[in-house]
Parts: sequence; C-alpha cells; structure tokens
Amino acid sequence: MNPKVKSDISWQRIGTEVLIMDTTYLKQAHSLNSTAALVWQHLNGKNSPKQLASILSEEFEIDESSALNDVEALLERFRKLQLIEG
Amino acid sequence: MHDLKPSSSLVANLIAKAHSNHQPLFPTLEITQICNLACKHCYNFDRTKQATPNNQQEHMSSAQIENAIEQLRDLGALWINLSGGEPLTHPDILRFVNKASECHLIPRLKTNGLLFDEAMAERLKRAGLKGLDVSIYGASEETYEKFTKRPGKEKAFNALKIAKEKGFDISASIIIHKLNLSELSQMISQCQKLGVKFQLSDEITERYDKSPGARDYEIDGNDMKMLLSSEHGQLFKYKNHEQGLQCSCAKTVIGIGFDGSVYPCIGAPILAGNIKEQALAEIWKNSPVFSKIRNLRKEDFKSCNTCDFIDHCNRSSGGIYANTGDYCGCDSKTLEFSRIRSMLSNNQS
Ligand code: SF4
Ligand code: SF4
Repeated sequence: MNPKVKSDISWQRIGTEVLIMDTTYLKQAHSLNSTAALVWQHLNGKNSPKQLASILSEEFEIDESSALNDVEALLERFRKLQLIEG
Repeated sequence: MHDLKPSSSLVANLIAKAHSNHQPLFPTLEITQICNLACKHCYNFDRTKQATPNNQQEHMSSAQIENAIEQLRDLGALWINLSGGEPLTHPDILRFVNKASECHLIPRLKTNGLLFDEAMAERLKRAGLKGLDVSIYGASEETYEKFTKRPGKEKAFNALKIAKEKGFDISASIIIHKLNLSELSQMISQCQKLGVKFQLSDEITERYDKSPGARDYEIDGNDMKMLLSSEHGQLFKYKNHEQGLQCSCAKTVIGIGFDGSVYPCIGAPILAGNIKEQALAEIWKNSPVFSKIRNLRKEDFKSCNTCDFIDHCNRSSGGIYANTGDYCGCDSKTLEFSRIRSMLSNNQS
C-alpha cells in the first residue's frame, strides 16, 4: 500500500510550508519546510516512494537516489509520528 | 514537540504568515438560520416576533454547503466553525462535519448545546468533530428562559459535561447581559466545576436585518464599572499595548452566511459577494470590500488617532460596523467602556 496521510489528521499549506495539527493521536502540531511539504502533499495513497522521489528530484533538481533517501527518511518520521498509513 | 494551541510559537508564526498572505485559516460557515431558541440579542433577526424562517430557497442547499466547505479548504482554511442559527437543528449536520473532516479541516460547532446529548455526541465524534463553543446565557433556568424564551440552562451545561467526557476541545461562551449580571460568579463557577474553559462576551450588536430590540439587555457603563471592581474585574480589563486597531477580517477570517453571502467576518455584515453566484476564490481575491479592508491603514481610523482611551480599547470593527455602518468608526459603547477602563487604570496607578 502506498503511503497516505491519515484521514483524521488536519493540515494546510501556508506559503511553501505545511502546518499539521494532529488533534487525534499524539496531539501535537508540526510544520514542514518546502521539501517535506512537497512530499506531504503527494501522500494520497497513489504515489509510491519512488514516484515521490521523482517528484522531489524534478522540483528541487536533485538526483533521484538522494531524493529517494530523503523520501524514505521523511516517511519514517511521519510513521513514527503516526501521521500516515502505508 | 509543539502543542496545538494557536498561541504556541510554531502555530502562531504560521498564523502570522497566513495573516500577511491573506489566507482564511479561520472561516465561519452559517449552515442554517433555524434555531430552537429565541434569544433577545440574536443578530439574525427578531425571533421573539417572527417565526424561524422556513425559506429554504434562500438557505444554501446541503450540496452547496458541502461545496462551500471544499472551496474553503482550497482557499486555505484549516479550522472551520459551523454556526447558525443552531447548527444541530440541521438534518445534515453529520454530513457537513464529515465533509470538513475529509477535507482535513478541524471542524468546530458554535452551538447552544440543547440538542447535544450522549447519542449526538457519539455521532459527531465519529463524523470527525473536534470542538464545540457552547453559549451560556444564565446560571438559573429562570434567567436563561427570560433571555432565550425557552428553558435550556440544564441542557447547555449538560452539553459541556458530555463534550468534556467525550474528549472534545470545548469552550463555554458566557454571554453577559443585563439579566444575568448577578449570576456571573455562578456561571463561572459552574464552568470551573466542569473543568471547562470559558470566555466572556459583552458584545451585543444590532441585528443584520435592522429590526429593533437586540440591544435592549446590553450592559451599560455602570454595569462595566461594577464588573471591573468585582472579584472578576481582571477578566474585564484590557490593555491594547500596541494600540492595534485592525483585526483579522478578510485576512485569516471569512464568514459565509446561511444564504451564501460572503463577509469579511461573520461578525462584520459587509456583503462581498455570494457563493451561489460566484466562486469563493474569485470573491476572496477580487472583491473591492476585501481589498478595501486589507488596505486600511492606521490613519483611516480617524477618531481613534486622536483618542485618549486607545490603550484600553478592544474595538471590534465588525461590531462597530453592525451598530453604526462605519467599519473604521467608533460606537458609544466602545468609547464608554474604553474610557471607564482607562479611568480606573489611571486611578489605580
Ligand atoms: S442560540 Fe444563537 S442563533 Fe439561536 S436565538 Fe440564540 S443567538 Fe440566535
Ligand atoms: S474608544 Fe473608539 S475612538 Fe477610541 S480607540 Fe476605541 S474605537 Fe477608537
């Protein structure tokens, strides 16, 4: 299953950042910088980590393998924070 | 780790960014004008004389309300206040809460609480409701009924109790008026007993349909003096440290009325457009009403620039507009309360 933001996590883009309000699980607020925000906005269950990496590498002009490392690290962080499924 | 309060530094910084970008993080959506009470001060219309309007043609349809929620999300909302009338009288309330939740918003209800029982609380929780603001009009059933024309005090406090038990983020909105002044301590202590935070409001404005009588029970200067010197005096003091005059209207705040009318704030009835006729994004971007408010400068608040009481003024431009038709002006109550606060503070220093 491709990664997806949990349906009961509230969030919104503000400028290039994202504000996440987890009122359900750990009851914390988080902010994401523009790189993490781009990945976050594509966590809709349709994109695999590889596809996310190619979106990232295209937007920020970084090579796909380091983009994939960044994506994996971000997904790990989001999972630990109970923000995503898959 | 950052807590969820809008005042926490991370959240406050991002709200400030949204303010300068003009992103409506905090919309209020009136889903109905129907209500099960007939409060004397209701700004919708005079419910003591007219029956609740049954004009479903003017009301947005449920599909239009859902569409409004989606448009608000796309425009940048994060929190959404569903209000009324009484939102729990709407047969599709669960559908709207669910829609807001699916859109990753934080839905809250502004309610009188009378229809909020255990079963409804459960259903709302499952639909994704996060919080409630429950209006409190009195500490005794008698006072409550005098003001609202129907009994409901027990039910309103019970709603707070249930909401607390179910883990909603709740706040009691204590509306202060002439009839419940002597019950203020009781209202506060009942909230404290339930472990519920409360906010006090003495803001009562003219009705949006201009029918008379809404302000008949509004507190006056003598009442404010009494409140300031009471045990709760601290709660009525206000220090406007930065001499601020502007609020969040048309910046992080937007209001949509029951009929689709779009306002800079639900408390500032200046018509900017209607979502039945125009896309919300277009109204938000291009409405001359919104541009005018966003471009206001300190100099535009003419009477405030020469006012001796600005340090103690908590003006609400929306309320002043509803009362006088002048968004940048002043009204007699704001002036009097600011003067009294200023005078008492000078006497104490
Ligand atoms: S509960 Fe609210 S909507 Fe209903 S009559 Fe009172 S002020 Fe008006
Ligand atoms: S009291 Fe009136 S004139 Fe003075 S600062 Fe407040 S709103 Fe302006």
